[in-house]
Amino acid sequence: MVFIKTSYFLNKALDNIRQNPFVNLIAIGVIAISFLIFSTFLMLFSNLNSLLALWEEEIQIELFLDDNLSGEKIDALQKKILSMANVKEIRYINKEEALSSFKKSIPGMDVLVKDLNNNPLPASFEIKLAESSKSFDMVKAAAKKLSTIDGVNDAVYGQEWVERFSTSLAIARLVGLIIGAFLLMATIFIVSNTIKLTVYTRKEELEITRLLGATDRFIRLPFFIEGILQGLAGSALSLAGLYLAYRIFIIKVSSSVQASLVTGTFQISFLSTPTITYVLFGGMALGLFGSFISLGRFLKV
Amino acid sequence: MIEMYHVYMAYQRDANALEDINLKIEKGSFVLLTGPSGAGKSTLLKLITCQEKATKGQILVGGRNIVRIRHSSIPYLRRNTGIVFQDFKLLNKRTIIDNVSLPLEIIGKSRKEIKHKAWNVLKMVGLQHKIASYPLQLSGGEQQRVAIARALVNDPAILLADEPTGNLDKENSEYIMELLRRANTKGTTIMLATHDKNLIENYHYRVVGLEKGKIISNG
Repeated sequence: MVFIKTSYFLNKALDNIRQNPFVNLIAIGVIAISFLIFSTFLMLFSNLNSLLALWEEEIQIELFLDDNLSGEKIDALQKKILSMANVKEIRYINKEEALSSFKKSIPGMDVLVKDLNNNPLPASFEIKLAESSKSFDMVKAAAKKLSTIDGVNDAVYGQEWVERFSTSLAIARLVGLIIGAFLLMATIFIVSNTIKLTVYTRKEELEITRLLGATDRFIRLPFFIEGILQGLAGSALSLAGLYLAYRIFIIKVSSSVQASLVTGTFQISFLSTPTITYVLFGGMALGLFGSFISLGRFLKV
Repeated sequence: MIEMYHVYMAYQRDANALEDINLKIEKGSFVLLTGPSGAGKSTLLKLITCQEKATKGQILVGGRNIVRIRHSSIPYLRRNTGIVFQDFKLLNKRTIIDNVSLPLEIIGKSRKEIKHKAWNVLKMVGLQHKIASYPLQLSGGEQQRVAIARALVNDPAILLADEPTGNLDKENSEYIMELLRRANTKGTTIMLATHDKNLIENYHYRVVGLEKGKIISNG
Protein backbone atom coordinates (compact mmCIF):
# COMPACT_ATOMS: atom_id res chain seq x y z
CA MET A 1 0.00 0.00 0.00
CA VAL A 2 2.74 2.40 1.03
CA PHE A 3 4.69 1.39 -2.05
CA ILE A 4 1.73 2.00 -4.35
CA LYS A 5 1.24 5.44 -2.83
CA THR A 6 4.88 6.38 -3.16
CA SER A 7 4.85 5.44 -6.82
CA TYR A 8 1.61 7.39 -7.23
CA PHE A 9 3.16 10.57 -5.84
CA LEU A 10 6.37 10.00 -7.77
CA ASN A 11 4.34 9.70 -10.96
CA LYS A 12 2.47 12.87 -10.13
CA ALA A 13 5.75 14.70 -9.58
CA LEU A 14 7.08 13.45 -12.90
CA ASP A 15 3.83 14.55 -14.57
CA ASN A 16 4.30 18.01 -13.09
CA ILE A 17 7.82 18.18 -14.45
CA ARG A 18 6.66 17.01 -17.86
CA GLN A 19 3.85 19.54 -17.91
CA ASN A 20 6.12 22.45 -16.94
CA PRO A 21 9.41 21.60 -18.64
CA PHE A 22 10.60 25.20 -19.00
CA VAL A 23 10.18 26.22 -15.38
CA ASN A 24 11.76 22.97 -14.26
CA LEU A 25 14.73 23.43 -16.56
CA ILE A 26 15.30 26.87 -15.07
CA ALA A 27 15.21 25.50 -11.55
CA ILE A 28 17.56 22.65 -12.41
CA GLY A 29 19.87 25.05 -14.25
CA VAL A 30 20.03 27.43 -11.31
CA ILE A 31 20.77 24.62 -8.88
CA ALA A 32 23.39 23.26 -11.27
CA ILE A 33 25.17 26.61 -11.59
CA SER A 34 25.28 27.34 -7.89
CA PHE A 35 26.36 23.82 -7.11
CA LEU A 36 29.03 24.06 -9.77
CA ILE A 37 30.51 27.10 -8.03
CA PHE A 38 30.08 25.43 -4.69
CA SER A 39 31.71 22.15 -5.66
CA THR A 40 34.52 23.94 -7.48
CA PHE A 41 35.33 25.57 -4.16
CA LEU A 42 35.06 22.20 -2.44
CA MET A 43 37.47 20.65 -4.90
CA LEU A 44 39.89 23.54 -4.61
CA PHE A 45 39.94 23.29 -0.84
CA SER A 46 40.28 19.55 -0.68
CA ASN A 47 43.24 19.75 -3.06
CA LEU A 48 44.90 22.62 -1.22
CA ASN A 49 44.37 20.69 1.99
CA SER A 50 46.04 17.60 0.67
CA LEU A 51 48.85 19.74 -0.71
CA LEU A 52 49.30 21.20 2.73
CA ALA A 53 49.23 17.73 4.22
CA LEU A 54 51.92 16.67 1.77
CA TRP A 55 54.08 19.58 2.83
CA GLU A 56 53.45 18.80 6.44
CA GLU A 57 54.63 15.30 5.66
CA GLU A 58 57.86 16.57 4.17
CA ILE A 59 58.51 19.27 6.66
CA GLN A 60 61.76 19.16 8.58
CA ILE A 61 63.72 21.44 10.81
CA GLU A 62 67.23 22.47 9.96
CA LEU A 63 69.40 23.37 12.91
CA PHE A 64 72.46 25.45 12.01
CA LEU A 65 75.27 24.92 14.42
CA ASP A 66 77.85 27.32 15.74
CA ASP A 67 81.19 27.00 14.00
CA ASN A 68 84.09 25.38 15.80
CA LEU A 69 82.07 22.87 17.79
CA SER A 70 84.14 19.83 18.69
CA GLY A 71 83.27 16.36 17.45
CA GLU A 72 82.27 15.19 20.93
CA LYS A 73 80.11 18.20 21.44
CA ILE A 74 78.31 17.50 18.17
CA ASP A 75 77.77 13.84 19.12
CA ALA A 76 76.40 14.89 22.49
CA LEU A 77 74.08 17.39 20.86
CA GLN A 78 72.83 14.79 18.42
CA LYS A 79 72.07 12.33 21.22
CA LYS A 80 70.38 14.99 23.27
CA ILE A 81 68.12 16.08 20.42
CA LEU A 82 67.27 12.53 19.42
CA SER A 83 66.19 11.81 22.98
CA MET A 84 63.55 14.54 22.75
CA ALA A 85 60.05 13.10 22.67
CA ASN A 86 58.89 14.27 19.26
CA VAL A 87 62.09 13.82 17.26
CA LYS A 88 62.02 10.85 14.93
CA GLU A 89 65.16 11.21 12.87
CA ILE A 90 68.25 13.31 12.94
CA ARG A 91 71.01 13.60 10.38
CA TYR A 92 74.26 15.49 10.69
CA ILE A 93 75.50 17.49 7.72
CA ASN A 94 79.01 18.82 8.01
CA LYS A 95 80.28 21.98 6.39
CA GLU A 96 81.69 20.21 3.33
CA GLU A 97 78.45 18.37 2.63
CA ALA A 98 76.56 21.60 2.99
CA LEU A 99 78.81 23.28 0.44
CA SER A 100 78.59 20.48 -2.09
CA SER A 101 74.83 20.24 -1.88
CA PHE A 102 74.68 24.00 -2.24
CA LYS A 103 76.76 23.73 -5.39
CA LYS A 104 74.55 20.98 -6.70
CA SER A 105 71.29 22.74 -5.99
CA ILE A 106 72.25 25.92 -7.75
CA PRO A 107 74.25 25.13 -10.89
CA GLY A 108 76.62 27.89 -11.99
CA MET A 109 77.24 28.91 -8.41
CA ASP A 110 80.34 26.73 -8.17
CA VAL A 111 82.31 29.36 -10.07
CA LEU A 112 81.51 31.86 -7.44
CA VAL A 113 82.07 29.51 -4.53
CA LYS A 114 85.39 28.27 -5.88
CA ASP A 115 87.06 31.58 -5.14
CA LEU A 116 86.14 31.48 -1.46
CA ASN A 117 89.04 30.88 0.89
CA ASN A 118 86.98 29.33 3.57
CA ASN A 119 83.62 27.59 3.63
CA PRO A 120 80.96 30.05 4.83
CA LEU A 121 78.26 27.45 5.29
CA PRO A 122 77.61 26.15 8.79
CA ALA A 123 77.27 22.51 9.75
CA SER A 124 73.71 21.51 10.50
CA PHE A 125 71.27 18.89 11.72
CA GLU A 126 68.29 17.84 9.64
CA ILE A 127 65.51 16.83 11.98
CA LYS A 128 62.36 14.95 11.14
CA LEU A 129 59.61 15.06 13.70
CA ALA A 130 57.34 12.20 14.74
CA GLU A 131 54.05 11.90 12.79
CA SER A 132 52.02 13.10 15.72
CA SER A 133 53.94 16.37 16.00
CA LYS A 134 53.82 17.50 12.41
CA SER A 135 51.21 20.20 12.57
CA PHE A 136 52.60 23.62 11.87
CA ASP A 137 52.04 24.83 15.38
CA MET A 138 53.95 21.91 16.83
CA VAL A 139 56.78 22.30 14.35
CA LYS A 140 56.97 25.94 15.22
CA ALA A 141 57.14 25.17 18.95
CA ALA A 142 59.73 22.45 18.45
CA ALA A 143 61.89 24.75 16.31
CA LYS A 144 61.73 27.46 18.94
CA LYS A 145 62.76 25.02 21.65
CA LEU A 146 65.60 23.60 19.55
CA SER A 147 66.97 27.01 18.71
CA THR A 148 67.60 27.70 22.42
CA ILE A 149 69.92 24.72 22.80
CA ASP A 150 73.51 25.69 23.49
CA GLY A 151 75.63 25.39 20.36
CA VAL A 152 72.67 25.91 18.01
CA ASN A 153 72.78 29.09 16.02
CA ASP A 154 69.43 29.03 14.28
CA ALA A 155 66.43 26.79 13.54
CA VAL A 156 64.78 27.00 10.15
CA TYR A 157 61.74 25.15 8.81
CA GLY A 158 60.59 27.37 5.97
CA GLN A 159 58.34 29.03 8.47
CA GLU A 160 57.47 32.14 6.58
CA TRP A 161 55.95 30.72 3.44
CA VAL A 162 54.39 27.76 5.18
CA GLU A 163 52.74 30.06 7.67
CA ARG A 164 51.67 32.41 4.94
CA PHE A 165 50.24 29.54 2.98
CA SER A 166 48.30 28.12 5.87
CA THR A 167 46.91 31.52 6.87
CA SER A 168 45.88 32.30 3.33
CA LEU A 169 44.24 28.90 3.17
CA ALA A 170 42.33 29.71 6.35
CA ILE A 171 41.26 33.06 4.91
CA ALA A 172 40.25 31.44 1.64
CA ARG A 173 38.29 28.88 3.60
CA LEU A 174 36.43 31.65 5.41
CA VAL A 175 35.75 33.54 2.19
CA GLY A 176 34.59 30.31 0.58
CA LEU A 177 32.29 29.67 3.51
CA ILE A 178 30.76 33.14 3.24
CA ILE A 179 30.35 32.88 -0.54
CA GLY A 180 28.93 29.40 -0.09
CA ALA A 181 26.40 30.64 2.45
CA PHE A 182 25.26 33.45 0.17
CA LEU A 183 25.10 31.07 -2.74
CA LEU A 184 23.04 28.66 -0.69
CA MET A 185 20.56 31.36 0.28
CA ALA A 186 20.31 32.63 -3.27
CA THR A 187 19.74 29.10 -4.53
CA ILE A 188 17.06 28.39 -1.96
CA PHE A 189 15.41 31.67 -2.89
CA ILE A 190 15.43 30.90 -6.60
CA VAL A 191 14.39 27.29 -6.19
CA SER A 192 11.52 28.22 -3.91
CA ASN A 193 10.41 30.85 -6.39
CA THR A 194 10.54 28.53 -9.37
CA ILE A 195 8.52 26.00 -7.43
CA LYS A 196 6.12 28.76 -6.50
CA LEU A 197 5.84 29.43 -10.21
CA THR A 198 4.89 25.82 -10.92
CA VAL A 199 2.45 25.99 -8.02
CA TYR A 200 0.98 29.10 -9.59
CA THR A 201 0.59 27.59 -13.01
CA ARG A 202 -1.32 24.78 -11.34
CA LYS A 203 -3.21 26.94 -8.88
CA GLU A 204 -6.62 26.12 -10.27
CA GLU A 205 -5.90 22.41 -10.38
CA LEU A 206 -4.79 22.50 -6.76
CA GLU A 207 -7.88 24.39 -5.71
CA ILE A 208 -10.10 21.85 -7.42
CA THR A 209 -8.17 19.00 -5.83
CA ARG A 210 -8.59 20.67 -2.48
CA LEU A 211 -12.33 21.02 -2.97
CA LEU A 212 -12.51 17.32 -3.72
CA GLY A 213 -11.18 16.62 -0.24
CA ALA A 214 -7.43 16.38 -0.71
CA THR A 215 -5.33 16.80 2.42
CA ASP A 216 -2.36 19.16 2.61
CA ARG A 217 -0.10 16.16 2.45
CA PHE A 218 -1.71 14.87 -0.74
CA ILE A 219 -1.21 18.22 -2.42
CA ARG A 220 2.27 18.93 -1.12
CA LEU A 221 3.95 15.57 -1.52
CA PRO A 222 4.30 15.74 -5.32
CA PHE A 223 5.87 19.20 -4.97
CA PHE A 224 8.32 17.93 -2.38
CA ILE A 225 9.27 15.08 -4.66
CA GLU A 226 9.53 17.54 -7.55
CA GLY A 227 11.89 19.68 -5.48
CA ILE A 228 14.00 16.68 -4.52
CA LEU A 229 14.22 15.57 -8.15
CA GLN A 230 15.17 19.07 -9.28
CA GLY A 231 17.87 19.21 -6.60
CA LEU A 232 19.19 15.80 -7.57
CA ALA A 233 19.25 16.62 -11.27
CA GLY A 234 20.84 20.02 -10.66
CA SER A 235 23.59 18.76 -8.38
CA ALA A 236 24.30 15.77 -10.63
CA LEU A 237 24.58 18.12 -13.58
CA SER A 238 27.00 20.35 -11.66
CA LEU A 239 29.16 17.34 -10.77
CA ALA A 240 29.19 16.22 -14.38
CA GLY A 241 30.22 19.72 -15.48
CA LEU A 242 32.92 19.92 -12.85
CA TYR A 243 34.26 16.49 -13.80
CA LEU A 244 34.45 17.53 -17.43
CA ALA A 245 36.31 20.70 -16.51
CA TYR A 246 38.61 18.66 -14.27
CA ARG A 247 39.49 16.22 -17.06
CA ILE A 248 40.24 19.03 -19.48
CA PHE A 249 42.33 20.78 -16.84
CA ILE A 250 44.30 17.62 -16.04
CA ILE A 251 45.09 17.02 -19.70
CA LYS A 252 46.22 20.62 -20.17
CA VAL A 253 48.25 20.68 -16.97
CA SER A 254 49.99 17.33 -17.40
CA SER A 255 51.30 18.55 -20.76
CA SER A 256 52.72 21.65 -19.17
CA VAL A 257 56.15 21.25 -17.59
CA GLN A 258 55.94 24.39 -15.60
CA ALA A 259 52.93 23.18 -13.67
CA SER A 260 54.59 19.90 -12.78
CA LEU A 261 57.49 21.89 -11.33
CA VAL A 262 55.14 23.78 -9.07
CA THR A 263 53.15 20.81 -7.91
CA GLY A 264 56.00 18.30 -7.82
CA THR A 265 54.70 14.85 -6.98
CA PHE A 266 51.31 16.26 -6.10
CA GLN A 267 48.34 15.07 -8.15
CA ILE A 268 45.18 17.14 -8.40
CA SER A 269 42.28 14.88 -7.53
CA PHE A 270 38.54 15.06 -8.14
CA LEU A 271 36.03 15.16 -5.29
CA SER A 272 36.03 12.04 -3.16
CA THR A 273 33.11 9.62 -3.30
CA PRO A 274 31.75 10.70 0.10
CA THR A 275 31.91 14.34 -1.00
CA ILE A 276 30.06 13.50 -4.21
CA THR A 277 27.40 11.78 -2.13
CA TYR A 278 27.16 14.81 0.15
CA VAL A 279 26.78 17.13 -2.83
CA LEU A 280 23.98 14.98 -4.28
CA PHE A 281 22.19 14.74 -0.95
CA GLY A 282 22.78 18.45 -0.44
CA GLY A 283 21.06 19.11 -3.76
CA MET A 284 18.08 16.99 -2.77
CA ALA A 285 17.85 18.64 0.64
CA LEU A 286 18.01 22.05 -0.99
CA GLY A 287 15.23 21.18 -3.46
CA LEU A 288 13.09 19.82 -0.65
CA PHE A 289 13.68 22.89 1.49
CA GLY A 290 12.95 25.18 -1.46
CA SER A 291 9.61 23.54 -2.13
CA PHE A 292 8.86 23.43 1.58
CA ILE A 293 9.16 27.16 2.08
CA SER A 294 7.41 27.99 -1.18
CA LEU A 295 4.40 25.87 -0.23
CA GLY A 296 4.35 26.99 3.38
CA ARG A 297 3.11 30.42 2.45
CA PHE A 298 0.71 29.06 -0.13
CA LEU A 299 -2.32 26.79 -0.17
CA LYS A 300 -4.55 27.85 2.64
CA VAL A 301 -8.13 27.46 1.41
CA MET B 1 -28.54 16.47 7.08
CA ILE B 2 -27.77 20.18 6.94
CA GLU B 3 -28.89 22.59 9.63
CA MET B 4 -28.20 26.31 9.90
CA TYR B 5 -29.01 28.46 12.90
CA HIS B 6 -28.80 32.27 12.78
CA VAL B 7 -25.95 32.16 10.30
CA TYR B 8 -24.32 35.41 9.24
CA MET B 9 -21.58 35.78 6.73
CA ALA B 10 -19.79 38.97 5.69
CA TYR B 11 -16.99 39.33 3.16
CA GLN B 12 -16.52 42.91 4.32
CA ARG B 13 -17.53 44.66 7.48
CA ASP B 14 -21.09 46.04 7.57
CA ALA B 15 -21.98 44.24 4.35
CA ASN B 16 -23.59 40.92 5.10
CA ALA B 17 -23.58 38.44 2.26
CA LEU B 18 -25.88 36.30 4.38
CA GLU B 19 -28.08 37.44 7.23
CA ASP B 20 -29.74 35.34 9.90
CA ILE B 21 -30.09 32.19 7.84
CA ASN B 22 -32.11 29.43 9.46
CA LEU B 23 -32.47 26.33 7.37
CA LYS B 24 -33.04 22.65 7.83
CA ILE B 25 -32.47 20.21 5.01
CA GLU B 26 -33.61 16.65 5.59
CA LYS B 27 -31.59 13.64 4.64
CA GLY B 28 -32.42 12.46 1.13
CA SER B 29 -34.20 15.64 0.10
CA PHE B 30 -33.78 17.69 -3.07
CA VAL B 31 -33.77 21.44 -2.50
CA LEU B 32 -33.59 24.23 -5.03
CA LEU B 33 -31.90 27.38 -3.81
CA THR B 34 -33.12 30.32 -5.87
CA GLY B 35 -32.73 34.03 -6.13
CA PRO B 36 -31.11 36.69 -8.30
CA SER B 37 -27.37 36.79 -8.68
CA GLY B 38 -25.73 38.28 -5.64
CA ALA B 39 -28.47 36.95 -3.36
CA GLY B 40 -26.02 34.72 -1.53
CA LYS B 41 -26.73 31.32 -3.08
CA SER B 42 -23.11 30.49 -3.79
CA THR B 43 -21.98 31.82 -0.44
CA LEU B 44 -24.45 29.57 1.31
CA LEU B 45 -23.14 26.52 -0.53
CA LYS B 46 -19.56 27.56 0.20
CA LEU B 47 -20.32 27.61 3.91
CA ILE B 48 -21.32 23.96 3.76
CA THR B 49 -17.98 22.96 2.20
CA CYS B 50 -15.96 25.29 4.45
CA GLN B 51 -14.73 27.32 1.49
CA GLU B 52 -16.02 30.27 3.48
CA LYS B 53 -16.45 30.71 7.18
CA ALA B 54 -19.62 31.95 8.83
CA THR B 55 -19.04 35.09 10.86
CA LYS B 56 -21.85 34.15 13.26
CA GLY B 57 -24.18 31.25 13.89
CA GLN B 58 -24.00 27.47 13.84
CA ILE B 59 -23.94 25.04 10.94
CA LEU B 60 -24.39 21.31 11.37
CA VAL B 61 -23.57 18.90 8.58
CA GLY B 62 -24.45 15.28 9.30
CA GLY B 63 -24.78 16.22 12.96
CA ARG B 64 -21.36 17.78 13.12
CA ASN B 65 -20.80 21.45 13.87
CA ILE B 66 -18.55 22.74 11.12
CA VAL B 67 -18.21 26.34 12.25
CA ARG B 68 -15.35 25.53 14.53
CA ILE B 69 -13.89 22.72 12.45
CA ARG B 70 -10.11 22.30 12.43
CA HIS B 71 -8.34 23.10 9.18
CA SER B 72 -6.97 19.57 9.01
CA SER B 73 -10.49 18.08 9.28
CA ILE B 74 -11.93 20.00 6.33
CA PRO B 75 -10.72 17.50 3.66
CA TYR B 76 -12.60 14.67 5.37
CA LEU B 77 -15.78 16.78 5.45
CA ARG B 78 -15.44 17.50 1.73
CA ARG B 79 -14.99 13.85 0.85
CA ASN B 80 -18.55 13.32 1.93
CA THR B 81 -19.83 16.20 -0.19
CA GLY B 82 -19.86 16.19 -3.98
CA ILE B 83 -19.67 19.58 -5.67
CA VAL B 84 -20.76 20.58 -9.18
CA PHE B 85 -19.97 24.04 -10.55
CA GLN B 86 -21.40 26.17 -13.31
CA ASP B 87 -17.99 26.26 -15.02
CA PHE B 88 -17.42 22.50 -14.48
CA LYS B 89 -13.93 22.96 -12.96
CA LEU B 90 -12.44 19.94 -14.67
CA LEU B 91 -8.70 19.46 -14.99
CA ASN B 92 -8.16 20.18 -18.66
CA LYS B 93 -4.77 18.50 -18.83
CA ARG B 94 -6.20 15.23 -17.61
CA THR B 95 -8.38 12.72 -19.41
CA ILE B 96 -12.03 12.21 -18.52
CA ILE B 97 -11.36 9.00 -16.63
CA ASP B 98 -8.49 10.66 -14.74
CA ASN B 99 -10.76 13.54 -13.77
CA VAL B 100 -13.38 11.17 -12.43
CA SER B 101 -10.71 9.07 -10.68
CA LEU B 102 -9.29 12.00 -8.75
CA PRO B 103 -11.62 11.84 -5.70
CA LEU B 104 -10.80 8.14 -5.37
CA GLU B 105 -7.07 8.78 -5.71
CA ILE B 106 -7.38 11.35 -2.95
CA ILE B 107 -8.82 8.81 -0.53
CA GLY B 108 -6.18 6.29 -1.55
CA LYS B 109 -8.26 3.58 -3.22
CA SER B 110 -6.46 0.85 -5.10
CA ARG B 111 -5.87 1.32 -8.80
CA LYS B 112 -8.19 -1.54 -9.67
CA GLU B 113 -11.03 -0.20 -7.59
CA ILE B 114 -10.54 3.30 -9.00
CA LYS B 115 -10.76 2.05 -12.56
CA HIS B 116 -13.84 -0.02 -11.83
CA LYS B 117 -15.75 2.73 -10.02
CA ALA B 118 -14.77 5.50 -12.41
CA TRP B 119 -15.86 3.47 -15.40
CA ASN B 120 -19.19 2.60 -13.78
CA VAL B 121 -20.02 6.17 -12.93
CA LEU B 122 -19.04 7.37 -16.42
CA LYS B 123 -21.32 4.73 -17.85
CA MET B 124 -24.09 6.05 -15.62
CA VAL B 125 -23.74 9.53 -17.17
CA GLY B 126 -23.48 8.01 -20.65
CA LEU B 127 -19.85 8.86 -21.38
CA GLN B 128 -18.14 5.48 -21.17
CA HIS B 129 -17.01 5.85 -24.80
CA LYS B 130 -15.15 9.11 -24.05
CA ILE B 131 -12.94 8.06 -21.17
CA ALA B 132 -9.70 8.82 -23.00
CA SER B 133 -10.81 12.26 -24.26
CA TYR B 134 -9.82 15.53 -22.66
CA PRO B 135 -12.42 17.91 -21.22
CA LEU B 136 -11.96 20.57 -23.88
CA GLN B 137 -12.74 18.00 -26.58
CA LEU B 138 -16.24 17.58 -25.12
CA SER B 139 -19.33 19.75 -25.39
CA GLY B 140 -20.46 21.81 -22.40
CA GLY B 141 -23.22 19.35 -21.57
CA GLU B 142 -20.79 16.44 -21.69
CA GLN B 143 -18.30 18.28 -19.48
CA GLN B 144 -20.98 18.88 -16.90
CA ARG B 145 -21.86 15.19 -16.99
CA VAL B 146 -18.21 14.42 -16.29
CA ALA B 147 -18.33 16.85 -13.38
CA ILE B 148 -21.41 15.10 -12.01
CA ALA B 149 -19.73 11.75 -12.42
CA ARG B 150 -16.75 13.09 -10.48
CA ALA B 151 -19.03 14.43 -7.74
CA LEU B 152 -20.85 11.11 -7.38
CA VAL B 153 -17.97 8.64 -7.74
CA ASN B 154 -17.39 8.69 -3.98
CA ASP B 155 -21.07 8.02 -3.17
CA PRO B 156 -21.26 11.23 -1.13
CA ALA B 157 -24.11 11.84 1.31
CA ILE B 158 -24.56 15.38 -0.01
CA LEU B 159 -24.29 16.85 -3.49
CA LEU B 160 -24.07 20.61 -3.90
CA ALA B 161 -24.62 22.05 -7.37
CA ASP B 162 -24.01 25.72 -8.06
CA GLU B 163 -25.86 26.73 -11.27
CA PRO B 164 -25.02 23.39 -12.92
CA THR B 165 -27.22 24.16 -15.92
CA GLY B 166 -26.25 27.83 -16.17
CA ASN B 167 -24.10 27.32 -19.25
CA LEU B 168 -26.24 24.65 -20.92
CA ASP B 169 -29.12 24.55 -23.36
CA LYS B 170 -32.55 23.15 -22.49
CA GLU B 171 -31.88 19.61 -23.66
CA ASN B 172 -28.60 19.29 -21.79
CA SER B 173 -30.11 20.92 -18.71
CA GLU B 174 -32.83 18.31 -18.66
CA TYR B 175 -30.26 15.54 -18.93
CA ILE B 176 -28.31 17.00 -16.00
CA MET B 177 -31.48 17.31 -13.92
CA GLU B 178 -32.34 13.71 -14.71
CA LEU B 179 -28.91 12.57 -13.52
CA LEU B 180 -29.32 14.51 -10.30
CA ARG B 181 -32.81 13.11 -9.80
CA ARG B 182 -31.46 9.58 -10.15
CA ALA B 183 -28.71 10.29 -7.63
CA ASN B 184 -31.36 11.68 -5.29
CA THR B 185 -33.51 8.56 -5.54
CA LYS B 186 -30.46 6.57 -4.46
CA GLY B 187 -30.38 8.60 -1.26
CA THR B 188 -28.04 11.53 -1.94
CA THR B 189 -29.19 14.81 -0.40
CA ILE B 190 -29.07 17.47 -3.10
CA MET B 191 -28.90 21.25 -2.88
CA LEU B 192 -29.02 23.01 -6.21
CA ALA B 193 -28.55 26.76 -6.58
CA THR B 194 -30.20 28.26 -9.67
CA HIS B 195 -31.86 31.35 -10.97
CA ASP B 196 -33.43 29.44 -13.86
CA LYS B 197 -37.22 29.95 -13.67
CA ASN B 198 -37.94 26.92 -15.91
CA LEU B 199 -36.15 24.63 -13.54
CA ILE B 200 -38.22 25.86 -10.62
CA GLU B 201 -41.47 25.51 -12.50
CA ASN B 202 -40.80 22.17 -14.18
CA TYR B 203 -39.56 20.28 -11.15
CA HIS B 204 -41.59 20.15 -8.03
CA TYR B 205 -38.87 20.23 -5.49
CA ARG B 206 -38.72 22.24 -2.31
CA VAL B 207 -37.65 25.80 -3.14
CA VAL B 208 -35.72 28.08 -0.80
CA GLY B 209 -35.69 31.68 -2.02
CA LEU B 210 -32.88 34.05 -1.19
CA GLU B 211 -32.69 37.78 -1.72
CA LYS B 212 -30.01 40.18 -0.51
CA GLY B 213 -28.65 37.54 1.81
CA LYS B 214 -31.92 36.69 3.51
CA ILE B 215 -34.32 33.81 3.12
CA ILE B 216 -37.55 35.20 1.69
CA SER B 217 -39.38 31.97 0.98
CA ASN B 218 -39.03 28.46 2.27
CA GLY B 219 -41.37 25.74 1.20
